[in-house]
Amino acid sequence: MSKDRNTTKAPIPPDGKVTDTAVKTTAESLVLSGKWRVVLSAVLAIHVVAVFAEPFRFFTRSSQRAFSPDAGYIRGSLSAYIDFAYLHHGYFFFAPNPGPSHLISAQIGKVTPPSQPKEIVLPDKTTQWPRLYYHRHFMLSEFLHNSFAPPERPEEAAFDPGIDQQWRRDRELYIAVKSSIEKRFRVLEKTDDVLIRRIEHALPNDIQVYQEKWKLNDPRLYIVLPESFSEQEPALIPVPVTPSPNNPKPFPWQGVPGAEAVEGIP
Amino acid sequence: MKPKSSRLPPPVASNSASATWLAGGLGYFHDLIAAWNQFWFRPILPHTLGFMRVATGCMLVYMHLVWGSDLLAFLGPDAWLTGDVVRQIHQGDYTWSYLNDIDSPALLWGHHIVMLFVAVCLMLGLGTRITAPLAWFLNLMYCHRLTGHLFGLDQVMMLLLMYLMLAPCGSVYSLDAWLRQKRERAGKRSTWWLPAACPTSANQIATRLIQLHLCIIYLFGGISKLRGEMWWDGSALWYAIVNWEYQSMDAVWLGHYPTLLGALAHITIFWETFYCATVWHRFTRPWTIGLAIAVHSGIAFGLGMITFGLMMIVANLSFISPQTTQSIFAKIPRRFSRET
Repeated sequence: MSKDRNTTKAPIPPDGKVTDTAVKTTAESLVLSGKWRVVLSAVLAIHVVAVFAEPFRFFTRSSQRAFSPDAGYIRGSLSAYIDFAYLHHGYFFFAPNPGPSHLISAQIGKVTPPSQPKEIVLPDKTTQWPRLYYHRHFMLSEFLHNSFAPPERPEEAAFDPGIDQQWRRDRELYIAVKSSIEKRFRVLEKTDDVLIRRIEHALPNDIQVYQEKWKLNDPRLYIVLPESFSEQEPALIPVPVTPSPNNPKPFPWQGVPGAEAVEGIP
Repeated sequence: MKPKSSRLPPPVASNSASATWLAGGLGYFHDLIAAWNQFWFRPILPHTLGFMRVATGCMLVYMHLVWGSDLLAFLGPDAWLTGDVVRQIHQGDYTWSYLNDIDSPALLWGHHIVMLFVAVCLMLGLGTRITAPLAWFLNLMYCHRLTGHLFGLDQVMMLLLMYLMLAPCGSVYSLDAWLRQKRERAGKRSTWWLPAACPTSANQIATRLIQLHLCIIYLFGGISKLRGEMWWDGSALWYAIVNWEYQSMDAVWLGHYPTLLGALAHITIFWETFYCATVWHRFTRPWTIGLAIAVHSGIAFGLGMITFGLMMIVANLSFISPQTTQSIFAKIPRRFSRET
């Protein structure tokens, strides 16, 4: 950067008081030389392509391909920069459609009838404050859900080593994420008996809300997601749970059978 | 009909046409380069960036106070996602953070206090030549470590920090500006550490990068919605407002007005998709920015993401000229002193 030689520095006002306007009128403008402009133009063009590359690749996904080859090439060429500079985002806010929320339910302690084990849910609007703190936990529960990979190896994996490798990696990652969250609950609750489940909170339609008078947190909207395809269909209507001293306000999905953790890679 | 030979242009005329064509082509590229230079390098004042720095600094302080409210749960050895798991998540990519390797609570707390100090300095505009890039780097390390807890707020914060550090954003509305004025009054020479509030190309580059980055965000935000049928059948906003986990203000009553909800969904996708075009023209810009403020206010107050909504509005302010920002802030102390 070189100083523009055509500009001059205005004198400081007689009272010595340099106001903001006075500063502006000094107009000590810094103008770039031609060589700098060429170098910077190249850098800026590469940066703008890097910003564009990740959402572009993300957008080219389809059921047939992970992404388009040209989008993959651009993204791949700039990977180091995009990843390190935190530019790897798709910017798909509430798209393509607004979807249901996903929660984490942690069952603390053993099921010893008639008492029910303690249940902790993430996120929890009633206890987590401020809102940003709550949102950090909400994102964690969504992240666990998005990391889910079933224990069953896809059929295509038998013929395609790439698919097999990807599935193994996804499955290992899901187990690692889930185990880390379970470990946190164990430390918090000082017990080894922790079982976490993924809960889906479905969105009600207008008929359910206006005609059938469902509340937005109606128990019928909570679904315990299976950990394996071999498990029974998700339970839509939970079995009512009686409040107990250990569990004064049972969560809507308590009493739902299933959702035992099935871990390990065959 | 004239003989065929007479229809051919004379050799001199042919050369002249080629020369005209060549001159036109060269003129086009000359104009293109001039426009490119004007777009990226025309020196502008730092006032809008200065205001954005204050807002970004405030949010950075708040964000890190929230991380700090349960620091070890997010970063400690028994965090929700431990450093080992985060390393596994990023296996094979170029995401790296030294925070993945720190387990000592004392070190984590020490580091966090440094982060908060830097964020406060950025907010107040103290030592911004150093604190602005440092704030970007430290926050980047948090982002890479805290995978799994992040959302749009972190994306827009990194965007703003990355571009603000390229410009002398601390040259106005800052302690740096106050110190510089003090030095000038004392007759001391200016120093690089206390940048002058003068027009520079760096201000223009930072502003353009924020603007273009926003255009890319909205473009993909818009075209991704084109794939969803709910945005077309008008039910998307209904399913956004009945999401219990997001909801911070009960707007379920809006469901009684399906025409309004449908219109708002359609306005959203058209506005978002065409933002990258309409925001550049002076006649359509106020409407485009006005809609951005309306949409992000809705997200902030209706969907419980007040931090994200506010920072998206702050990023949109990059389209406000520095002269306008300067004149607004110049009026405030005058009005305040008149009233008092």
